[in-house]
Parts: sequence; structure tokens; C-alpha cells
Amino acid sequence: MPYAVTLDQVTKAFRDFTLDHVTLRVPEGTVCGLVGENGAGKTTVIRLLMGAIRADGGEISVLGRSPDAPDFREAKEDIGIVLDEAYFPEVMTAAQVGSVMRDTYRRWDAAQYAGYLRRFELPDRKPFKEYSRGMRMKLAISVALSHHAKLLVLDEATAGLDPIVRDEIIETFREFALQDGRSILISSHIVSDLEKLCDSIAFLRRGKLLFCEEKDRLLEQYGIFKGTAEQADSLLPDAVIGREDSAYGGVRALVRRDAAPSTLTLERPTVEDVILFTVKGAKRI
Amino acid sequence: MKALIRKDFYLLKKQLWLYALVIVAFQCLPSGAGDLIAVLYAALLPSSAFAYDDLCKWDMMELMLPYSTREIVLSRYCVGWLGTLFLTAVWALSRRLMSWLPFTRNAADVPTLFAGLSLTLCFLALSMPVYFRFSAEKSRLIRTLVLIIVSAAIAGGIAATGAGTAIGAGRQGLSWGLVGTFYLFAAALTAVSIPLSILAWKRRHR
Repeated sequence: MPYAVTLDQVTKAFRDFTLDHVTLRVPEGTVCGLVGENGAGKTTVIRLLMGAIRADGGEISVLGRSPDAPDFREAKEDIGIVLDEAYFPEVMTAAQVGSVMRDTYRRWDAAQYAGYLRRFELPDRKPFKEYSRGMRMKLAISVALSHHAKLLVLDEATAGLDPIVRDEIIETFREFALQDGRSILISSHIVSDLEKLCDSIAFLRRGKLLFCEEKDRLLEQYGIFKGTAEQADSLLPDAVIGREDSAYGGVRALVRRDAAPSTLTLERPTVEDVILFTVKGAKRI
Repeated sequence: MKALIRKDFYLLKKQLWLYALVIVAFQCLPSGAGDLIAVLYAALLPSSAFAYDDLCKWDMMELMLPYSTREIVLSRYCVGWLGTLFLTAVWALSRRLMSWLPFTRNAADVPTLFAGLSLTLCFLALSMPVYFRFSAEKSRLIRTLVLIIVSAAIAGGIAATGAGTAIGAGRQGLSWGLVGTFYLFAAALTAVSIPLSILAWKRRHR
């Protein structure tokens, strides 16, 4: 299977943080969500795969090229990038951003860019500093989508936006993903956004990848148990990923279906459940 | 590289026109010493571009876009050179216009101004690696130090060559040969400065 992004045992050490042997694969034509708390290493992964920093160990490949290779610039032509802020100079207008990008990307599509500006109702003569946060992010997204990218890399692109704008943006990403062979790697701590969009979920915690699974398989693998503390205690310790004891004696737990008794009634979890209980379980250990 | 130069000129558009106005204003002063200072203003242009970039963290974005390190560094040098060229053209034009006005001023002679221009290039070459290594704020402090050193060198040079008297008297102070030597020195300094800036930029971002 061809992959848009592969990270194989990638390590990067900083003074106070280490990305520890991360292995991650994003098949072509799929959307992968990178989830994790603030400081989990999501931005480090994105900076590594964009060649902004160099890994201490391991192998990285993006659209078949290593970020350390001299020809990685070619791969960047096929990558649309949106960071947590739109880092364009504040005195520039959307029209000026467009003309800078026209000279940046070989396949810059001015008509498509103008189309996105119209769609997002972005004034093209207004200085960027007068834009709201939502407008700024929409401009960054318009740039990322206007050069016929094969891969979108989104780092907290929906953070700090109101639900209506977030929904509009998620819809735009979904449209992109529907096109043949287009892939997305999106990092976020807003799990509900990822649940709507992603085919697979990778969960990073304190620089370690706890899991990287297809979303449907992940949700089939686990179940939510609701019962008493005695019932929960009777489950095999290996079956319980994480549990939540209420003040009234009730227990809510994430359990592995294959290790739980088949007679046990389990509810389908959400991705957020899987992540929250995994963190709770890890803290308990 | 064209994209980065274009971006910088969008940022510096207002500043360039302001500097041009200052240069024209200096032409109206009776002493010609202001001409030299006006040309040296051009050396401050890239520092403004760095400050704008710092403000919006453009370097974070720049690292993700298809630009090579060489392009990122060279584009800034080009902005400095093109800005200097533009301001020199403004100076030359305003000087020409002033010559038609019915009053005389002790304007700096052309070789002295070209020598001043070479000092601008030297200043650019000295300050660029600092800008690529540190934030705009830190660089500004270092730049002030460099400016003091360069100014002292100019003052020393003027005193040694007698150009100050020449400027004051409006007669030829520097030979073209000496000006040529200044340009060779500026070129040598720039040749060292560019790889140093590339190294500084890599060190800051890796």
C-alpha cells in the first residue's frame, strides 16, 4: 500500500522533551488524526515531517521523499500546510499573500484561490491584521488548498475557532479528502473534529505513540462498560483500559472486547472515550 | 526567491517612501554631510523586514514552504541591495533636481557618496548574519554596536582622507580608485557574510 507519510522509529530529543521512537503511517487517500494533549509532540512530528527540524534517529518519508533529502523541496510543492496560526505578515492583504504564493508554488492556481476567498467571504484588499482569527485561518486554508496539493498537513488548524467556523473548515477538508489520492494528516486536541473527518487515529502522549489505528477498528476493539464497582472488579485487569468511579458507586470503564466476557453488555465508545480512558489507565499505572 | 523579495517589499513599501522623503529633505540642507547619512539609511531596511517577520513568526511558515535556505538568506541580501539602489536613485534624482534650483549648497561629491554607499554594503554584510542568528530585538542591540563601530570607522576614514574638508568645501575629496577599493572590500565582506548567514539561519532553526 502506498503511503503519503511514514515515520519509522523516529526520535527527537530536546532539553525537556523527547519524541520517543514514533512509528506512524498515513496511507495515500486517507485522513489521519494526530491526537494528544498540549506538549504531547504533535507539532514536533509535523515539523519533522516538513523538514523544519532534523530527527535524531529513525526514518521519515513524505510523498516518497525524505525531508532531509535535497529534493524535498519538490515534495513541499505537493503539500498544503496550515499551522495553528496563519503566520502571514500583518500588513499584507489577501491579494498580496496570493501574489507571494504565486511566486512560491509552481502549480499555484490563482482562480482557485480567488474562489476560496469568495467562498470564505474574505476581503482581498483588507490588511491581514484586521482579520478575525477565523478569517485568518480561512486565509491560511485557502493558500493550502490553492496549489493542487496531494497532502494536507494541518497543525491545530481548528483550535480557538467557534463551532460554526470549525464546521465550515472541516467540511472544506472533507471535500479535499474526497478527491482521488488526496491525504490529510491533521493534528488536534479537539477529538470531535477528528471523529468527523478521520479514517485513522494516532494518539501521542508525552512523546510516545500509544496507538495508531483505523478509527472503525479502534471503536470495534473497545466497549464502554457501565455497572457497579463489584462488576468492574470482576473483570480481568488486562481487559480494563481505564475506569471512572462515580461518587455513587457506579463505574464507567473502557474495556477490550476480546478480553471481556461475551455476556457483558458494552456500549460503542467514541474516539474521545478511547483517548480519555487510555490516559486515565496510563495515569493509574 | 522572487516570492520572498516581493513579500519584503510589500512590508517595506511605506518605509521606503518615508526614507525617500528623508533623502529629499536632506538635499534641502545647506551642508552635504546629510547626503552620506541618508544613503546609510538604506542599511536599516532589512532590519525592518526582520522585525515584521518576528512579529508574525513568519519564519515558522517559511520553513514549511518550498524555499531553500539559500533562497531565504539571499532574498534578504537582495532586499538590502535593491533598497539601497532605490534610495541611491532617489538621492541622484533629487540631487539633479536641486541643481536646477537657484541656490547653492555644499553637496557631497559623487565619489564620497559612492564611498558612503560601499559603507552601506559593508554594514549590510556585517549585520545580516546577526539578524539570521538572533531575534530582531537582540539583533537591534548588536546592530547599534555595529553602527557605532562603522560610524567610528567612517569618521576615522573621513579624517584620514580629508574627505570631510572636501565635503564641506564641495570639491573632490576621494579618488575613484579609493572608492573602488572600498567596493572590493564590501564585496569581500559580503562573500564571507552570505555563508555565515546561511550557517546562522540553520543554527537558529535546527
